Amino acid sequence: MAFQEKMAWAMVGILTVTGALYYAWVFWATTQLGHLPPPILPFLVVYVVLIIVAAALMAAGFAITNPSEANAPLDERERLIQFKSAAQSGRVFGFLIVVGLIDFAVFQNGNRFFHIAFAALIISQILEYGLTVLFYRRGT
Amino acid sequence: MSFWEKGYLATAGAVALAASAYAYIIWQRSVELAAVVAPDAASFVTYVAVIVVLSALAFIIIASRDATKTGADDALVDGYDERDRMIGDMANSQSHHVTSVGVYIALLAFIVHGSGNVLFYSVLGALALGEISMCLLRVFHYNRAY
Repeated sequence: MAFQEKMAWAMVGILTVTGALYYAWVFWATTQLGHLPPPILPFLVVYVVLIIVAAALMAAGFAITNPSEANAPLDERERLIQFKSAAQSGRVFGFLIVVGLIDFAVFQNGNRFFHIAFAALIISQILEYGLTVLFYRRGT
Repeated sequence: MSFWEKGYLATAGAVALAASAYAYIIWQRSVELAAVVAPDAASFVTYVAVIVVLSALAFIIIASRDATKTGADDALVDGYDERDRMIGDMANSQSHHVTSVGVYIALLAFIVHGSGNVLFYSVLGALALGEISMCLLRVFHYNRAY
């Protein structure tokens, strides 16, 4: 399995777990407060740091087990796969953001729009890495 | 310049024009109210409709003008080949990053200011910037040899 594919698998796992934890907190806070909580900066900073640390640890682990593969530049096929997966996840991201814009235009709830936009970012990232794995498996 | 290049340049112009007009209207209303005005569905839908109509019109006009030229190629519009697809994917993936950075900045601004209206307009601006960059990146990649 190529280094990029291993990293894509790892990122799907990291983003899914951290995203699920973040939104579990949002739902818990919503039930406690009776309305959607505003975004809390320290909480978001912890969330981002957690992703960076986990991704760096995974990359270091994969690089130690196979250093030559980790240092190899992307070939033509790998570049195409990256462009394709980013382009397709970008369309989903754009759609989700437009859904958020319409939701805000109707309900005028800034906190809700924040959580929708943040979820759109997480979902598009998971999708990008998921599609990368899929295209590697398909041989595209 | 190919049909697709001209079409995407025209689309970039249409998005820039519509976004500027929308921003001007919002700015005018906000100055009158002395606060950032809340978005209304009518102006938002009009903004999206203007972009769609202008882009479609631009493609139709360019195609019809090119087709009436002497010695025009029969396969003027339908030639969307492997290179076009690759350029499309490259431009879309790079513009996705532009939009994402814009949305991140908008989210940070919301955390600082707490204004949903500012969040709405800044996210809309990020989408417009992403769309313009996608069109311009396509033109840029078309002019590079792949």
